Amino acid sequence: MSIARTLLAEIQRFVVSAFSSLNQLLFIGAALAGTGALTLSLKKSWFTVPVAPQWGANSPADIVGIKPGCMTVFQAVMAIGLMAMILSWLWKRHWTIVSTLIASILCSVTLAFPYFVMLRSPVVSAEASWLQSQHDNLLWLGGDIHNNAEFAHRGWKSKTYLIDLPQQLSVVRLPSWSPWEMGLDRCEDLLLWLGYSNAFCNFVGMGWVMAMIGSSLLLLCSLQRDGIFEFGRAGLALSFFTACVVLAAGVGWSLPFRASQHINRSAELSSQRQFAESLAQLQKAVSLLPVLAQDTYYIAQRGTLEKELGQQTDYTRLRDGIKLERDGRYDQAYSAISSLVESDNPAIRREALRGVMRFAIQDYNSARFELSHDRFWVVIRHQPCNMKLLYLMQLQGIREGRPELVNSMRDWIYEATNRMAFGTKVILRSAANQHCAIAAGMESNAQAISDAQDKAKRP
Amino acid sequence: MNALSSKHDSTDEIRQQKQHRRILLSLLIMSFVFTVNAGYGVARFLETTQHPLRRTNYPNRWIRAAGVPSQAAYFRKTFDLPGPVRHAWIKIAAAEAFEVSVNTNPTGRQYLWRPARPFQSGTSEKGQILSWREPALALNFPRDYQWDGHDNWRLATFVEMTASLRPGKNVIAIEAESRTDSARVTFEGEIQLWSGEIIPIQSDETWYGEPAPLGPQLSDWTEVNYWGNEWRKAVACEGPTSHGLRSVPDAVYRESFQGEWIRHRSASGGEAIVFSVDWEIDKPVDEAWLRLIGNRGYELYVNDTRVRVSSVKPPDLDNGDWIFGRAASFDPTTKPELLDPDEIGSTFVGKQFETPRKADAQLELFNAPFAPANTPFRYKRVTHRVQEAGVIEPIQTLGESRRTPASPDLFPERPQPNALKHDLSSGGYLAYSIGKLLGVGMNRIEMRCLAKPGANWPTQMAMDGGALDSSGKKIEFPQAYSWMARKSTEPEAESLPVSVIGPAYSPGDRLPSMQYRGVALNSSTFRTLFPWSLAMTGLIVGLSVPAILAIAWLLSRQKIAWLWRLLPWHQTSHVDSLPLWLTVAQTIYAMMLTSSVTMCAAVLLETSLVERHEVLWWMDGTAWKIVFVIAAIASAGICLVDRFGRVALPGLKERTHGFTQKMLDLPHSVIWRHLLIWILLLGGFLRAYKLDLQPLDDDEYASTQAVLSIIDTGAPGFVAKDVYYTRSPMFHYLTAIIAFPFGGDLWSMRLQTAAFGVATQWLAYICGVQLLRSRWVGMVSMLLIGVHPLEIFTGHVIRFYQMQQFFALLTVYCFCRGFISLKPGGVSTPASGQHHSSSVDDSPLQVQRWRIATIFVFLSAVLSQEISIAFAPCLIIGYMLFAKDLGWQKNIELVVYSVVAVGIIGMDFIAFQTLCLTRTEGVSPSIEAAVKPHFWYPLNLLSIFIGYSRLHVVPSFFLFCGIPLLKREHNRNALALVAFLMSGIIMTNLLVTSVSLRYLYWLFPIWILLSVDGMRLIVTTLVEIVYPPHENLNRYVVTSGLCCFVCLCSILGSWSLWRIPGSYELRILGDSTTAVRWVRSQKRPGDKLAITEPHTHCAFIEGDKCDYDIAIPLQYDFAVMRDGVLVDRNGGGELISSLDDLIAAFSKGDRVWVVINREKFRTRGKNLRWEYPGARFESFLRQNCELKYRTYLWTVFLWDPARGHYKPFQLQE
Repeated sequence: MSIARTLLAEIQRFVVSAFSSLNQLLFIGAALAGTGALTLSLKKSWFTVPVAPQWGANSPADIVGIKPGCMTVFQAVMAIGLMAMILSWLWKRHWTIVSTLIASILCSVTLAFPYFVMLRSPVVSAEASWLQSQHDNLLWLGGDIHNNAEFAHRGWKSKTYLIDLPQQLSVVRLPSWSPWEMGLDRCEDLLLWLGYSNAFCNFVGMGWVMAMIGSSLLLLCSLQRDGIFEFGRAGLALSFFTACVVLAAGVGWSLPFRASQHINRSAELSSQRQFAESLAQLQKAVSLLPVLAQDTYYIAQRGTLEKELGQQTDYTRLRDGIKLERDGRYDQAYSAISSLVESDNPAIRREALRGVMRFAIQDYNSARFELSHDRFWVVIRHQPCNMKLLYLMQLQGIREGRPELVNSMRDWIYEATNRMAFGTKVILRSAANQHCAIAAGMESNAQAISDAQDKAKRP
Repeated sequence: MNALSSKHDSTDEIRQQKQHRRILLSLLIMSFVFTVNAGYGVARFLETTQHPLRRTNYPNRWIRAAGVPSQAAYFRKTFDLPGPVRHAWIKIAAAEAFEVSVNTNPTGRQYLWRPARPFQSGTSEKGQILSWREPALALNFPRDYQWDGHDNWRLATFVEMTASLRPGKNVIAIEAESRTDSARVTFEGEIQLWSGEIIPIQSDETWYGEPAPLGPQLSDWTEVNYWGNEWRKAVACEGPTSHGLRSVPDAVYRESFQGEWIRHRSASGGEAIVFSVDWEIDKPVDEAWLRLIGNRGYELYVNDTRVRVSSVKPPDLDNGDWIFGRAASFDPTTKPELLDPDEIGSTFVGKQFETPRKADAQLELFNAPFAPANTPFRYKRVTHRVQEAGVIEPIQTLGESRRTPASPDLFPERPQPNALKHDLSSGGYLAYSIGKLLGVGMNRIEMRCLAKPGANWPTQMAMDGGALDSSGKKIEFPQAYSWMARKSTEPEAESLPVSVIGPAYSPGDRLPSMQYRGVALNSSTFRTLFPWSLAMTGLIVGLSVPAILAIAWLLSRQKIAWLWRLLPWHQTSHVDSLPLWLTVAQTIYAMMLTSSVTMCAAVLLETSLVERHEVLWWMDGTAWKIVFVIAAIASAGICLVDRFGRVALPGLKERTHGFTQKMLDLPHSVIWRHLLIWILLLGGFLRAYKLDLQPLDDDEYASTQAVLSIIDTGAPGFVAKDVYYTRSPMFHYLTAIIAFPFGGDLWSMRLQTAAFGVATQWLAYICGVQLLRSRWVGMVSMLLIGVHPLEIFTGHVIRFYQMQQFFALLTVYCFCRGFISLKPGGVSTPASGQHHSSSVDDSPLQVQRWRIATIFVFLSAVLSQEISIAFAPCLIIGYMLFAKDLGWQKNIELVVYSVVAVGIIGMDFIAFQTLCLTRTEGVSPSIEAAVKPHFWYPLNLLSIFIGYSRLHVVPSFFLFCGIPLLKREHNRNALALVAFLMSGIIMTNLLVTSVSLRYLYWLFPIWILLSVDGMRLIVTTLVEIVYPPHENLNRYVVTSGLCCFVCLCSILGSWSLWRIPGSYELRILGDSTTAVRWVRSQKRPGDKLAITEPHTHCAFIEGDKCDYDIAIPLQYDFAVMRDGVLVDRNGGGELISSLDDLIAAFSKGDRVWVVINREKFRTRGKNLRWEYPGARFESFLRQNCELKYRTYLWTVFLWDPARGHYKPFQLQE
């Protein structure tokens, strides 16, 4: 009874204090919203990249999402931090300096998440970068959508040609020389080396956003007492937060430079024809910065070095395939490259699929539609969210007079874009619906045409 | 009493000791800072001694086109060559841009780009580009600066032309372009024939020059057979200079190739070979170069240093076996391979350039090698019901007929994947500048050629080169027979003399075009120089400072008093109570501080100017020399002030105190008011001067059209029925009210923006005075806003950004007065550091009426530009952080007013959704800015601190360094401004769905205020350490004043203010206005006008009517369906969104004036950009229409059916 009375009194005191001022009310609201957001961040995904299941995708429903392994750790840290925040408040019934420090740590930890995803989770980040690259390739001013806009309404699509794939998959760009020569021109790289790329932004989940909002709101709340903002505490929090960020950024930035040193050394050894040592240096660079192993140039370079050492690996096989392609021996090249699409190495697999897609695009542009169709399907099974491919397959459907393929690809596009954050996805969806309208025209289905056109206007 | 006194003495002593220790510690730290600073500066200066720039003369006259000076000039000269050409080159400088074509083949160019882009952006000669640094902030929907262009003429461009010339009749055509009305060019060059004859090329009156090729254009004016008999002679004129700089050893271009083919004596075709030669050099080298031709991929070494140049080229011939982790890392990951019209079956086969791109000048074959006859498969596959009715077999379905044809698969040539192609077999002719890598003595040149397994042709190469000593005397390159070769696969392979085949280049041969790759980098230069400079400076400082202090200590202890008597002022009374050694420490500190500030300002300035032509001043070391002199003079001046202040020469102190006091009282004097008025007048003048010269930009036309419509009809309607301008009602209606009495005159519309610009300046001053408590900060901020190049430009365009900025700043001001503690009138000066009111305001004066004013001013900001709504969360955060609770009654009052404001914003939104928003017929491929949460392109969070062309780097440095010092001041307003700036940047980026600096424009004044305040804080904090103002007022004022002045100069210098005056004489924007006005003057009844999107409103306003809107690609933002036809929403013109639409428009039989924005199609010169939409369209225009007129970035074509010329397309449907 006495406990209940105490509790009631406490609640009464809380309510009275809450309504004592507008500031107090706002701070309580912010604290509740922050707690809610952080709680939600524990439930929601922080980062998901849509990929094919292990056995390959046959329909949009098969698409699965992969998450970086570190996500669970971050969520656990957030859970512990949230509990600590609540306990710190319950301890004194108001926010203390401990609460401020905890909130600062939570903010810093949340900001560090992109680094651990984009630079320390190579497969996930490479998949994200590859999909983002497809997206940009379609949408930039020289991309398929802009270039083919002139023929957008042509049912035949006979003048619609496909634009080649991006030159290279690269998650981070290396520093060219040394830290001494870092200038303002590398600002973007500095951000990339901390994981802040558009690839991250496009696949970031609600969980991370909620964690950012929640930790920021809690930090804001912890800087006041009784609705009065405490500048001393804010200064401390700011200093602590800045120190954490600077330290973390320093560590983060050191790795590309160290990796670059190894790569420069590797290049030097290669030119001295010490290929084994060169390869070892290259691998040291990758051990420092695992995401380098996903780079198109790394794969090609490693193939060259291993070839010189007389080894037979997937890297050398891919290199041989590309060399055959370069020499114009296309059948042999395709055979070599397509055999690697089942490789255990995801980087090789991706490059091989890129090769297959390259062939398919050339087939399409040369009107060998059956060949291109088959080859596109090889890729789609492995990369069901490859935007470029889905778009191209719609065109293929129109050129081949297969409306069902066009409609099916529209569903794939919707499924894939559901997992993307950028607003530019509506452009893709609109184009997909426009293709469906053309496809419906093939079947003389006026209602379907009208529906598709409506959806193209408001995708 | 004695005990008390003794205690007091002891406390004083402790305090003094603490002060002494503080000064010594500060001196130690300052010595370190000075050492690093000076070491860096000296290293940078020493590095410039190796710069590649050399003076070069322009010996010939500058020429311009005949007649009235024009923005585009065309020069051509035909001549007969009696025999085969051995070598030909040209050195050219233009004011401002040029393109050289030889026999229709474009060989070199320097296009005009916005000055906010890096210097040399449009240069074709990549090896001659001085810096490959990418822009710190890439341009994205920029607004231009009030700047004239880069001084491109300061740097001559060399172009090699050998491959394009042939015996017989030839033509050299040069196109010059300028933003001003006088496109000029000067050049010199030579054509060397195998017969030994030398034909000079020089700019003079023997050239023909026309402002634009008027009259029928039946053939390309760059063709040799072009009928140019009516052309007038070019006119010699004054040029900007008679000399410039070059970045390339000119012998690379001036001399013909002398190398001889060499091979290994016994190696097979597939083996890797290393060629090497020793080059004896007996004098220090000024310049050196190498040119080589090889048929393998290679690595080139000079003295065991790999020859590498700055470049963004993908892996190439000279990259050896290594492709990972070098310059290729610059490749944008999303950049696709270029569209090849030959490969994709374009209708313009072989027409990527107007000159057939696959032509082979060596074979004199100028036809496309991949014409349909050669590759029938791809060009016969296209079927069309109308054109080839019989092709489709009736038994086949439509789809089946378009599937893989039964024709044999010919496997047409495929493009290789660029990323991996790294093709090593094609060979090439490359040149390098290698002066940095050579030394006196024996130098080893080594070319390591790669193996090519299976190759049945041997590895061979030819190389020539040379060097110049400091007197300009040539040092000859070793002869071919001096070379040795070895098979590198053998560890200790024996080097054998090479087999010399003979000259690589002889009569009858043709070399590929030379690619000058650039200056070989010596990456260790700075890394070597910096530690060395640091050590030397450290040594000097480390020895001299303790020595000086020791002498001063001895002097003060009378140990070496005789030395003291030698000093000239020894007899004057020394009034300073401090010991001599300590005063000397103070002096040294102040001198080092002044020097360090100067050097630091210089480093910041250099960093800011890297992307502009001003970088030339730093590259050749001139600027550094001036900086050193300024630093020395400033330090010496401070030393004199300090020493004279201490010895108290009779009357001097009083006089100087009088001066200091005047400076302190200046903000309260009449002069100050005059100063403020003059600064405001300057701001107003810079915005209003020649207001009507600049053409309206596309967005400005939209606002102008809306304003004119309001004046006419009361609603912001466009031409198309029921289409209204959707944004910023307050701006447009206010402008209409102002412009109404003047009938919508341009001056009345633009002047109101200028007035808002000046008002913003004044408001910034008020903010400085009342929020940051410093009249000096206010005045300097006002000055900086007045002369900021983007503020000036935006401050006179008919657009809402300036109004939004004003109301946003006013919102901040009102907020601070209403929600943040400050009693008005608390003002200090940076010099005194003494606040006239208490620094901490415990009883805040947060007035309700200011709070209400905040709400309504914020409402005005939103109504003047809707994206201001992004500021709302900042205000809420600001309220939570800073506001005092004034009780529920006032809170409720506030809530009610807020609800009213939200209601009005809601009404605006509802009106926008129901009345103004035009439902589009599709989704545009480019997304317009809107208020919607999103997160992308994180770099834009830093964009305001960098600015396009690095404009904001220097002030931002002071801002960031000053923030930690804000705490000292206990000024809540300053903290609030920081909070607004940071949260404003974050919110604008997260809530406005487009990435562009212009959306952050409203934050510029806050950023400037905080930067200036940061500068004041940094300088005064550093000076106060040794010169507390209450003890050393004179020294404090002079030192901090001098340092602030240097910093201010650095900021102003980083804004390239010298570029502003010239900008009033030229067109900063593409000149659509003049182009359309010209068309209007030429139009006949019945003529039609077509214009590229989104300038249809220009055609409507300036040309009376817009008949067609050229929308390539079709962007639905500007199109609406009316009566079953897609029309442009602004001008009402019918949409032309494909080439077929254009042909249909032409087929109606009217004359059609086609006004094209070349920037829109990404085409600036002769070459068409096939990777972008619009190339087919423009190619058609070039082939079928007359080029009638040109302005900056705009071209006017005329389709006249009566002309009887039509060139159909091969695959036209």
